[in-house]
Amino acid sequence: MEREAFLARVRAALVDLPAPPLPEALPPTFASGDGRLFERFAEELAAAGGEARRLPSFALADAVAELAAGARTAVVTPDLGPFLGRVEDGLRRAGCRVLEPTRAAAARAELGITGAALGVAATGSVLLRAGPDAPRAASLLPPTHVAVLPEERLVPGFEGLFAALPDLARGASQAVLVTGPSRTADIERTLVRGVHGPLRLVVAVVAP
Amino acid sequence: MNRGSFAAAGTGGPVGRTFEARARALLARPEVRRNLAAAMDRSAVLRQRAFEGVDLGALRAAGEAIRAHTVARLDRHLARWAERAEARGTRVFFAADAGEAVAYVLEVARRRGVRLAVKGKSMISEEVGLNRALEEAGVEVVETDLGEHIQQLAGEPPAHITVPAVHRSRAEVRDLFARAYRAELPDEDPAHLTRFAREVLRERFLAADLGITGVNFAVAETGSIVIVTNEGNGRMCSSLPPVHVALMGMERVVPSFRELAVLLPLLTGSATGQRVTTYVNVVNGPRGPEEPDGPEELHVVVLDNGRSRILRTRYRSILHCIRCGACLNVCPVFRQVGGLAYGSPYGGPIGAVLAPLLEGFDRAGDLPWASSLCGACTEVCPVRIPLHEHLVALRADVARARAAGLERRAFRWWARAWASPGSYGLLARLARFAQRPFVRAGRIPRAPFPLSRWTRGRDLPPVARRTFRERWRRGGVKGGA
Amino acid sequence: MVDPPRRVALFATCLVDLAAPEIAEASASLLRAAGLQVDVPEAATCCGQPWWTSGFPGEARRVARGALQAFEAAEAVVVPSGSCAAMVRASYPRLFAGTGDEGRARALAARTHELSSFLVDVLGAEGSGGRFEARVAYHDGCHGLRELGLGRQARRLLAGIEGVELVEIDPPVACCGFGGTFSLRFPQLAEAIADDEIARLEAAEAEVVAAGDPGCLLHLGGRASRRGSRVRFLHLAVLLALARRLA
Repeated sequence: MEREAFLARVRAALVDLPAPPLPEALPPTFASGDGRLFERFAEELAAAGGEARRLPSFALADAVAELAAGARTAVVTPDLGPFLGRVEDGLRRAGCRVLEPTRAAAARAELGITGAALGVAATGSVLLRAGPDAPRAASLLPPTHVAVLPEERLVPGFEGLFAALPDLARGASQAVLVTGPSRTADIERTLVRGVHGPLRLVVAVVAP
Repeated sequence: MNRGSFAAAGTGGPVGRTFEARARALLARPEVRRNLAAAMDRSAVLRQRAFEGVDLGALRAAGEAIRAHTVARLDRHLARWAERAEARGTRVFFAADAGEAVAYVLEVARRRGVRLAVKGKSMISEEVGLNRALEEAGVEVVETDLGEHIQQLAGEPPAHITVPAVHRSRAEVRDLFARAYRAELPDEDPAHLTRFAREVLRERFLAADLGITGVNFAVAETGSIVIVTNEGNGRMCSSLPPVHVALMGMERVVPSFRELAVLLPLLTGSATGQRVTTYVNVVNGPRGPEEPDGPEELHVVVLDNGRSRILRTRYRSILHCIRCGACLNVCPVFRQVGGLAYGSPYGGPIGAVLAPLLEGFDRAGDLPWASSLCGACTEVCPVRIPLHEHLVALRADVARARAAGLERRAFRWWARAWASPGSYGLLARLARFAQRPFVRAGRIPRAPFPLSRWTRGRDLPPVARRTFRERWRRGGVKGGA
Repeated sequence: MVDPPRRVALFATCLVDLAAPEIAEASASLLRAAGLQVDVPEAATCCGQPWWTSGFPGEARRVARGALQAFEAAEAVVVPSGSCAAMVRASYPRLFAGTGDEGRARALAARTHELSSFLVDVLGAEGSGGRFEARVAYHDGCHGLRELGLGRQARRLLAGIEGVELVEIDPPVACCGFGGTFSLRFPQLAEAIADDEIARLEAAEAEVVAAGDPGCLLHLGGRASRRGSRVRFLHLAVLLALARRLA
């Protein structure tokens, strides 16, 4: 149906219906945060089955080397920005080959390392933006995903996240809020970690 | 409902054209009741825990206000959403009904030469019968949500909004996988079964020509759609195939991201007791010109299919629903039979109101009566939809629409008899007389119709030798002063 | 608290009147023992709920007008049934909305009380007193629980009886499965719901189950006795009256 006709039908059905105003102030939720940042972030991410590490940027290479131990190939995305060099360093040290982050490579790689646009302490979540410097497959296909988040991008709760989203939405075709490894309880309500998305999620929170 | 081209190995949904017939068939499966009860009890605990320490009353009030405002101004928010979405390159199709929605998707599939489609959860796709239409057009459709996939293999529709295979045991799941994939599965450990599903479905994700998903919220502010999952299949379907089609009911709009700070926790807290689902996918448009991956085409199908008709009625608040499934999880009727008894993609209390309104009274008019009106659904609804009030009102609407049959005449006669104390008393005396051949040892073990429906499973006391009113009138009532 | 009334009307309800008159007798005894004068107006036969929940609001109004008329002059109306009291208090305003009786209906709704709520909230009773030796579980009728917020009052009354060991079912039961005509339209479902509850009551070793709803009692008690369960089902009023030797 033509858009105008469709909307006209809706409008006609609503004629004379009073609309309550949108609430000015929204009440706090369990995702609003308590002001704490990394400490809360780490708690929540752990509860969701993920791992959070806080480290200074000079320690990033070592941390990556440790995480990449045993992995033969990894994909790495340019949105790591200033951290890219150290990440590639760490992978080299672990003897892990870095592949161009194409989809085929991501499907083969054991490890995907990407940047993160924002972190939410109240839920232990990181926001990933898809963009020219951030192919989606790198954080989706490999069984282990490591996200590197600058600590200053941590916000206490959802209010901060959703205030930032419109701007973040502008430049990216997709943004995904990730909280821990993929999971399901579809079989007899038994919690299983690792379904279609990554089996393991590590967030390296880099202190300035 | 034909689900999937796999070797469907299951028993299929319950047979029966009425709720009662289907319920009877399901009641005969004790494992269904057991699994449902355990799942629902667990849900209740998780939901309670999730909202500890927050003012749930204030949240529900805010949720209600946001939904009521949005639905009351739906045309404006929808228009704004569509404009912004299209500015990003999203193709928006407004489908007046199921037929239009299906035709549009079929045309996309035809034009793109789609052979294989991967699907995330979408109630709209169930509502319009998309899977079957695609299959008839030669497209293989693979459900990728684990629970939906299990149901697809079993040849059954989903039994629950958020936990589609809630009633199935691990042994059944292993059986289904083994037969459908002709595979050796060493055991029934859910972790191993899940790993197996990950492997087989990973191949499908990578090979698919089309990804189909639902929409949890459409954000008017930016023309985005939001899809929430725990498994990651939402991301897969919206990122890997070259074409992504998202289906949404027209009422799923939210004015801006700000409101999601309340609606998203209400949804996840009420559905699974989670602070947040593992993945909250915000899709703003198809891949940008410089982007290395993502779908080339993004289509969003916006469905009316009777919703604008509902907007004109007293039932319009049913469109506030955010599809959390909490009402299903507290319903004493749902607990016994699950979603398959409702004969509609929409089950439980929400389904008992929505299905008759969307599908018509002929198909689903018996559903509003399939409730004890206990009110648990209204009590738990995160956006305060007065579900049990809608159920009572719908009963009157359905009864009015039906031709005056035996039941209406009997009820009318009975009302006349009980409208005055004189005829009420006479009827009581008549009943006392007529019941004599049926009374054994102070009880009625077998009564004639319609009370036979009682006595088939329960003892029935007879009409008292002297009713209370008779005793009172004669002054024979004992007691204090 | 406003001065409690000295004279009340008792709305026995149709189920009690016809099949369990002892419930109304016990209710009257309790009210009199509290120093009240009790009337039982003839014209109130039934609250109208069976027609309302079957989709026949016109017929429901016809029957309910008997109650409107009967209790016009009553200062307070006491009902030994949570679901009938909920019908009057919560549903009469909707049932009579837009009709000439709307005002009367609202007025009656405000003056109508379920029995345990009347005893505790209006008369200020603490515990009920007397003696009754048993492990007692209280079954919350769903309409009274959700529409009138009942439950606390009955438990307060029971806690004040010597010998009563109050047993709570956790997690609580949502509904017994009676639902008025629901139990006749979907008997297998209604029985299945009752069976689950009876199993949990037996597992909790409840000897007596008290309830403020004749419908729940008829349904649960009828199913329990058919299945040979040893659990005894009693109306709250009967239990209270027995404890105080009023019956």
